[in-house]
Amino acid sequence: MLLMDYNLGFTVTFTGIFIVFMMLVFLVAVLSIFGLVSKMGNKKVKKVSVTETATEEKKPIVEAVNKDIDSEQVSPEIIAVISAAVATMYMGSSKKPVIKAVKRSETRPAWATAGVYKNTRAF
Amino acid sequence: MFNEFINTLIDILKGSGFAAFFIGDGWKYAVMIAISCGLLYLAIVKKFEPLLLLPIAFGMLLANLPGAGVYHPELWVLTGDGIDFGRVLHDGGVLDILYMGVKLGIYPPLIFLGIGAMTDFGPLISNPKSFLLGAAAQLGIFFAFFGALLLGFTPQEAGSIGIIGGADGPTAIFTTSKLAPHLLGPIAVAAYSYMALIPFIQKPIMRLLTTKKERAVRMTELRTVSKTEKIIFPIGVTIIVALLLPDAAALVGMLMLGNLMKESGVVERICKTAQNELMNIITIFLGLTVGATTNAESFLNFKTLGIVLMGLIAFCFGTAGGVLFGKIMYITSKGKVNPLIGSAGVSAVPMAARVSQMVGQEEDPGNFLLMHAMGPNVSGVIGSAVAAGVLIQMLG
Repeated sequence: MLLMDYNLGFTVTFTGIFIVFMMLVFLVAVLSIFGLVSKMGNKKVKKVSVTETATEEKKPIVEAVNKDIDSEQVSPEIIAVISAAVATMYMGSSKKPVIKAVKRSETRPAWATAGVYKNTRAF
Repeated sequence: MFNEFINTLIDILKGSGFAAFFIGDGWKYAVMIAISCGLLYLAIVKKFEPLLLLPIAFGMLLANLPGAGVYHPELWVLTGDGIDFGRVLHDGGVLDILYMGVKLGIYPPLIFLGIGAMTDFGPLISNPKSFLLGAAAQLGIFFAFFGALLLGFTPQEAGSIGIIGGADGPTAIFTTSKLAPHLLGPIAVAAYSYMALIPFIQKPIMRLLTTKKERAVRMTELRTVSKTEKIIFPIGVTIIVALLLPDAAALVGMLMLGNLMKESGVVERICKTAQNELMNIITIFLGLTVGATTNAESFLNFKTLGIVLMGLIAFCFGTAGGVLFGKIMYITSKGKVNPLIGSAGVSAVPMAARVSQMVGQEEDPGNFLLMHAMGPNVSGVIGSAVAAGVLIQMLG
């Protein structure tokens, strides 16, 4: 079987490759510019926060208040895991949460509570 | 009375599907049923893309049971006035009604909505040069198009066959339904079968085209992408691509809508629906109806062999194109880019990225290329949608 129309074949092949490349090159350029703008914005925010905290004493992001913790019910390992999870949630944020107490829940299990919350929240 | 009993039994047998196997070309139905059983085996036992291959294979089975009447190919023959949808609604079976979603180009964009809702474009945004690898991997589409023309396919058929090289099922179905709907069945079966075989097809090509030193390159960590960037990305891409290439708007737009729903974080309920229930429903309808188009007349001919051969060539050239462009980037970046990630530019997410990871780890077990390969992988989804738009615009 022979190619009926070489012209069409070459036209579609080369035009198609060219258009796909040019389209994605254009997207590369737009994303690169946007990435640069984003980086410049982040640098400004970092400079401000660095000067603000330079004079402050280094404090941990999350402070656990040990006297409020019932050690019979909640082990230090659990407290450490909860603290790490809270610290991760607030990473990069300017807020510095303080854990004041860790107590075992005596009511509905956590998963059940989450399910109730999910099914009863507003649409 | 005994004669009447015998005659009634004979009439029932004559009207059954079994009798149809022995009338004219009826034996082809038996062959198609055997093929569908083979595909079911591949889907269930060998787990070849089962989410789609199973409904496709079963759709093929249903459509080739003589007298079942679930699908009527004669209703979809294009006349001077186009498709008579009134007749489809009146005389069609269940698969005819569901097939309208394919014919009207509804299902593939909805699948893309679900894909977008499950995709993280972070690796691509943090390294925009990955777009170029996604573009290079689409070379297979156009080489296969040219090869299909050489084999005697019409330009529209060749475009539908070439899009197999994009390694994207919904894109292949969307393009074929617009350019060559009579080839939808064999092209869909070929596309999904080859996607399941990506680890076997890509690895030898990747090893052949790269050196040990290149495969062992460790890439620097990707920068963190902000939430703002991830929200603006889908909006910007939709505007740019849809304005430049309107025929790609349906696929790219729905892909980006799904992604925006995911990244915005304010529409969690509908995002979950898009990722799960919607995706699953459309997958069932799409697979079933595409499989139903594989009747004996459209499948059991030399064109199907040509489709299978060209599909393989499209995949191979796509992989080679991505790897070779990766080598160019390796040279221009002075050894900072691992060429293996170029093969992930075919849009089979995330399998192609995993293959890059596996081949890279063969040289250096501590080399983690997965996230670097995800950039080209997801850019390949956009690239194949753009290529589909180009083919539809030029050949439609």
